[in-house]
Amino acid sequence: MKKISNPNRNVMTIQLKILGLVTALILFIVVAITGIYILFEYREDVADAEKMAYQTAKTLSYMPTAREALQDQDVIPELRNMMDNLLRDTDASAVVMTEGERLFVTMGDEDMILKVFDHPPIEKALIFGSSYTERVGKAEEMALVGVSPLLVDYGDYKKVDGTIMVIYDRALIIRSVIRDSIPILTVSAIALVVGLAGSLLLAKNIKKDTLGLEPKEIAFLYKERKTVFSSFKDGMIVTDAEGRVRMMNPAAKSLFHVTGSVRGQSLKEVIGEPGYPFLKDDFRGDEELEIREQAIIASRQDLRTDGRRSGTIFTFRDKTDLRKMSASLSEIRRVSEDLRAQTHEFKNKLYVIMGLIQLNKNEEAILFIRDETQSQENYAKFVSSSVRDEKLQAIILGKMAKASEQHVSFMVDPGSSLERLPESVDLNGLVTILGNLIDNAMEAVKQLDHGEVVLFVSDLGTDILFEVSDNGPGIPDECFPKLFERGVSGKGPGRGYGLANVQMEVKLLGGEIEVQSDPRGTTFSVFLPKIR
Amino acid sequence: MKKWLLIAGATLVLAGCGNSNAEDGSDFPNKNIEIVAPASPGGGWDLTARSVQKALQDNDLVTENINVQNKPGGGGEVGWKYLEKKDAHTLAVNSSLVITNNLLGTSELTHEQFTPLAILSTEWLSIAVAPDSPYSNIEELMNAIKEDPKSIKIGVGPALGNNDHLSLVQLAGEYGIDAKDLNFLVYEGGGDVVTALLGGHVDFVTTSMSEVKEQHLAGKLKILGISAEEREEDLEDVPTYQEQGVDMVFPHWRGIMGPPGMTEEEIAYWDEQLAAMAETELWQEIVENNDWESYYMNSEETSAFLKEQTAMYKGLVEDAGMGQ
Repeated sequence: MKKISNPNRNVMTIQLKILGLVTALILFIVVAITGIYILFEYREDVADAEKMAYQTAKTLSYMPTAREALQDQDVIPELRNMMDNLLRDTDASAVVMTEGERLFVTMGDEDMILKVFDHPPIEKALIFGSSYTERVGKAEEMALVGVSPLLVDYGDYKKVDGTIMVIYDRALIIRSVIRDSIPILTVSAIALVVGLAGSLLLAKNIKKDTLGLEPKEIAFLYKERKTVFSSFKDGMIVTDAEGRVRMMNPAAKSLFHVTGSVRGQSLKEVIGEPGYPFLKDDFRGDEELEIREQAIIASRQDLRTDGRRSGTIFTFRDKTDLRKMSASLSEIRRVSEDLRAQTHEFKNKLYVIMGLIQLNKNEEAILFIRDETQSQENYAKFVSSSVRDEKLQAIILGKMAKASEQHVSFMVDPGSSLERLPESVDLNGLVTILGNLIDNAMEAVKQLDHGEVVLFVSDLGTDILFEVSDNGPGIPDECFPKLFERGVSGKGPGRGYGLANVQMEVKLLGGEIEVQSDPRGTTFSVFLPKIR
Repeated sequence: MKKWLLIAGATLVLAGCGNSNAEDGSDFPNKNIEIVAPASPGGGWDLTARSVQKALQDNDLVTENINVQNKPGGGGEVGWKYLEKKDAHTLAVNSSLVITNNLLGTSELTHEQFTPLAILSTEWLSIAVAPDSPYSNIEELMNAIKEDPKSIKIGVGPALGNNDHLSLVQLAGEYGIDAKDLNFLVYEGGGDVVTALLGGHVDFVTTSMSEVKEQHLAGKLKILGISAEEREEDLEDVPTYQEQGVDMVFPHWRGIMGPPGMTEEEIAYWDEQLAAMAETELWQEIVENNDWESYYMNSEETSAFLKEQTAMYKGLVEDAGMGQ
């Protein structure tokens, strides 16, 4: 993040990178092409000069004037004139005619002639009568010399009496190549400047597209985003404008049972079920839905660039955890409610005792206390003797107090017997199952004069059996099919989670639940296996 | 397994094709043969080409039709350039010019651009003087030249740079004479050179032995020496250069070559036919009648010989160029 807060440096690096690369590339191409062009131009010019030197020498050697000049001094001015014209018509630096090996007539650059005449390349012409080109001298001072023999006709025979040399200065050729190269050098320079400007523009453009971020930073942001998304417990899907998945985090994948990469695929295909409401464009806000038996809150937000929708972000929050928490919260509330009821009961009894004492009816008071204590102890004894599990004892005693407050008779069937419950059945589960069933039963008989709720527990055999019976009016027929469905209740809105939770808990423990109901009463039977 | 069988089958079929191709190759030659004489009718090259044509055909060595094509110009260059673009059914007669043209700067072609097939015959070169010449052997003549090179006129023809000329340059070099000082008069041809000698216009001539043999036998001129390895049958009185203390043998050979890129089969075919031809009576007779000498070498030997000759000529031209 340090990097991002230093924009100056970022601009430098991205521009420098592009500028450096493009400049190097253009420079390389320009230098290579220009170099090759100049090299070829030079070679061609040298080859041309050699050819010209050769041909000029040969042509001159065939001219009668040249041959006659060797014998007739009077012809020499005419020869000079001819050579002068020739020098003017060609790029040659000098023309030399020798008689044997001696200079006879020369024309042109005298330095050049002297240089060449240090080692005149005329032997082959003199001895073998052949015409050719030679390079005389080294490096910068090199001269290209075309040589041809002067074969003078003496009637019956001919004789090599001298040679013609046509001399080209290589330095002049190089100079002319450089002169010819100026346009291409200019074009190259322009290309370089245009290239530089172009690369600057490119760098600026890229910078604009990346919001001024360095590629490294973009990569970092990308990784960061990926990690953040992955770490979300909530499911998250990002799609582009066409509804193709750009990103789907692990939580979302597990929610929709998707494995592997789904990038670029249509979201509808990935989810496999086009009916979900959040897929519709007009879906807004948080809405709770059931996705693969999980309660999910989905929300949808569109991504907008320049006022147009460029993508959509979906989030899915799992409500199951939330509900679990609220369930156990309500259990706790229920327990405290039960305690409060018990307290209330004791308070009433205390008031009775206080009244008796104020009336000085001490005997009655003592009797009352003894009776109460006796019946409490008796009952507790009974419960603790037939039901050995302390968790269950606690629940029964709690419900008992609630029952007496609501003037409902709550009994434990005398035939009940239960040893310790297995470890797998924890207090929470027990509270959920029995608490709900007993509360429901009490609620059903609350209005009756002789409402009666009976709990029967038994652990004979392989299963543990809880049976909660009431003598209430029974469950209406129309409620039966939806009895255990979430959110369905005969008690009004906001209710209807009790039985659903009971069923879920029973399922978790690997047990079963049965209901029998008629207008004379209802019985819920829960069977939990002892060994899972 | 099926796949392997298929591949094996395909390989066999291909191998089969390969065989039939080889058979096609051994069908060579399958059209008319052409022998290029890179000169006008009547010269040594033309004569060689026509002699080869006759010897191959009359002895039934080659059943295909053989034609002789005259392609004169450029000291052989025109004919050889023509050959360069042909296939193995075209051959061309050659000589040392195929080497020296390039060395003397008159041609870009070298013998390496062709397929050497054979050296067929050679002539020997000679130095001849007038019967009343003051010089009775090579040494006397060379010493005289050394003393005053310009005073001694040498007849040569038809051009400088030919073997007649080069052999004398080499000979003079052996005696330490600067080739530039040699006073060459260039005549139109071999006949003119002899005429010039007989007319006393030159002091001596360098030319083919066959040009001066008859006149020598008739006593009209005198051959001082020949460039051969040993004396000639008809000229027992003429010593070789070697006998006169110059370590030098200078053949004026003629050979035959093919276009570039010939296959081994094609080379082998011509090796066989030309070797057989060189053995025939008809060929021997032709060689005899033209005062040539049989000098047969097969393709491989010719290749080595050309290399050797190139080195020799290169040395000759460069040494002369250095003014030695």
